[in-house]
Amino acid sequence: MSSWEPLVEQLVRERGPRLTAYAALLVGRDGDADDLVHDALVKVFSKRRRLASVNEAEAYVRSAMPSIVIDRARSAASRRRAVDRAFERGPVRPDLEVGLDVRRALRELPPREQVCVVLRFFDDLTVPQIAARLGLADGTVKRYLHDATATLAPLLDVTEDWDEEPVTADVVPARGRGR
Amino acid sequence: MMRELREVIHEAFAGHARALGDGGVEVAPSTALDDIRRRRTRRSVAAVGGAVAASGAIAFAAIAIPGSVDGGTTIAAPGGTAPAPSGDAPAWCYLDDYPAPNPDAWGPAGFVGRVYANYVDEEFVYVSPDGDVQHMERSGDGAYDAQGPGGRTITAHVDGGLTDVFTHLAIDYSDNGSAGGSAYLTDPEGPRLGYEWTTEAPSDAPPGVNPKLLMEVHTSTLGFGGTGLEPSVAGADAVVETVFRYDDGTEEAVRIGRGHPGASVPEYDGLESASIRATLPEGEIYEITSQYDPTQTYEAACGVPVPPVGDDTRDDIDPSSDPERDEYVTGPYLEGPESVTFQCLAAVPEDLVAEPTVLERQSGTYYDVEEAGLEFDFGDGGYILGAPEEMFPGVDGPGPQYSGWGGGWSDQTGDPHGVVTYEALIWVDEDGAIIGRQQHDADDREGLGGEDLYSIGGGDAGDHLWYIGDTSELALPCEGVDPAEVEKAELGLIWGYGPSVDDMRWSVFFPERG
Repeated sequence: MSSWEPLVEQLVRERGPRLTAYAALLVGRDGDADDLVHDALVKVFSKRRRLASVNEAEAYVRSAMPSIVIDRARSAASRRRAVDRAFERGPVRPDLEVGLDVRRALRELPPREQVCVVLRFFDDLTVPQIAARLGLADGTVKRYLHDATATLAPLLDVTEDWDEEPVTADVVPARGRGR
Repeated sequence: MMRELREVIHEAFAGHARALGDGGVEVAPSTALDDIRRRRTRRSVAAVGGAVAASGAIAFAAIAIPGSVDGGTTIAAPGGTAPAPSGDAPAWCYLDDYPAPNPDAWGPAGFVGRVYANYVDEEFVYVSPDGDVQHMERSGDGAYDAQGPGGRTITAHVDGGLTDVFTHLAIDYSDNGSAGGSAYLTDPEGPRLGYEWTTEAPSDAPPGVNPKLLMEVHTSTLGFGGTGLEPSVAGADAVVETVFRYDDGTEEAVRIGRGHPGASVPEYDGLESASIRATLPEGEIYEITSQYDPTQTYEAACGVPVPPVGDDTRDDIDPSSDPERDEYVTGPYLEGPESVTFQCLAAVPEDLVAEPTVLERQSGTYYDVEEAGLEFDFGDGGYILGAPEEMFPGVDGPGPQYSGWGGGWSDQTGDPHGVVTYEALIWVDEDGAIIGRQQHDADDREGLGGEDLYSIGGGDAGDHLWYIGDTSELALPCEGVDPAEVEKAELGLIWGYGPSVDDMRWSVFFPERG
């Protein structure tokens, strides 16, 4: 067995539910979340890299997901591919009820807005950090967040107000590359 | 009281993850493991191509040739010893020792023929798209000419830096004057002929997409020479990909970075087609598709093998050696020709310390780098750094074949120009002395490479850019230096460019100084 395989197995065994739940925030449906986790695993572990722990592996796999979502939305062709994949897949996992109202509300947003919301309100990244991550201007990210919160507020009965600075620390752990 | 969105999302996540866990812990999906295995294997193959790419940022793959339109020992078995094709073979099979490439593979690239060039004996043979063979004549200016389609002149030059490296080339010409080829004597597949490919391009290219230039990026995927992706191909903001489609319905898209040619075929089993696809910012798509049929080989059509190549009559070339190429030497940095200016344990010349034209600090894990066609991992801190680069007339080959040296060159406009480059990371102590240099044997070291340091050539496009991530594993202490000292040292980047190794514009950048 290759050196990376035990870590993948451990990651899925111990953190699979967290990865899927995070992916579901980005794509809405549990079945699509499974696909996103699959693609993120492939993306991260296809490259040679030093991942010292399952914590670090989880952070890397999670951080790969937003750009995959953006890429999928980037062109009509890629959307068609996503549909093709959905048909190739086995029986789709039904959506669990827990938190489904939030995931359904997030699905109302365009993909870029949805990703910005997750990076801002779940990962607690700042606007400049989100902009850098997604290759967008700060102003564009602010506009996405304002539009998104305006959409979500009545759906989830939450306030539209939000701070530009994060409340908590960055959830992406420090490198700790096993040196 | 209304709740905050942050609180609601975190609560939904926690409950969802808990419920998913209650449903049973899954094992890693076998499809994911299979995909990872396949891609890791493919990546190791692609890394070989990357080494070539590094030495030719502008035109590529195999290599771009200073040749022009309008403007061997024979490579085949001597004495016309090729076996006779079968009676019903196509006309293009009767080509003596000089097999013609398949013109149907070239699509809109404007293929006007191939030259088999033997720089040792100055023998040049031109094969037209319809299979005519001409032994090229030396012209007054020392080049060799032949008459191509429509009366245009096909010219092969005998001088230039490439002839110091390659002795035999198969050079394919386009009608816009560009030419690219391969050192087929060292290619295990011999001269690439492309009969397995049939290319079709839609006639309705959207504004901003140049089908001819797009096809020239794609030809390297088909095994021919080609050029690197430039903004003139489909615009600076287009996403250009090579797309492989297989008979099981799957497809694989590989983003093409600026300056890079189309991707190599990762797997031929089940391959149905290879395309180059440009997706414009507005979402419009233009795609050139090359259908693949493994049965349509030269051998299958002609009833005979590809004419044998290589010369067994010469006694001044050892056939067991590689006559084509001086190997690229991956020796220690600061010990090549650059050592005239930079040496281990010596101070960085103060007058060479410069400010970069671009300096951005980045942190986090994944960032899209559109122009490179990749995502870059900055770890918990890194830089995007830029510096001037320009092209010089008459430069038509790479720099010294040694660690850190490279370059690019182009002849697409009929105006040969290029640049010789040098780049290396260094680490300096408080006194400004170089105590660490870039690790040179990165290939076998887990984790080193494009994820930690990525360089994008400038050339005609402007500034050279570097994506610098976690470089700590890239540091090689100078002799006698304690590695702990290097860990505390300041990171620097040596950058040099010019028309030749003896005429370089040197700079040293220290990104931490801002």
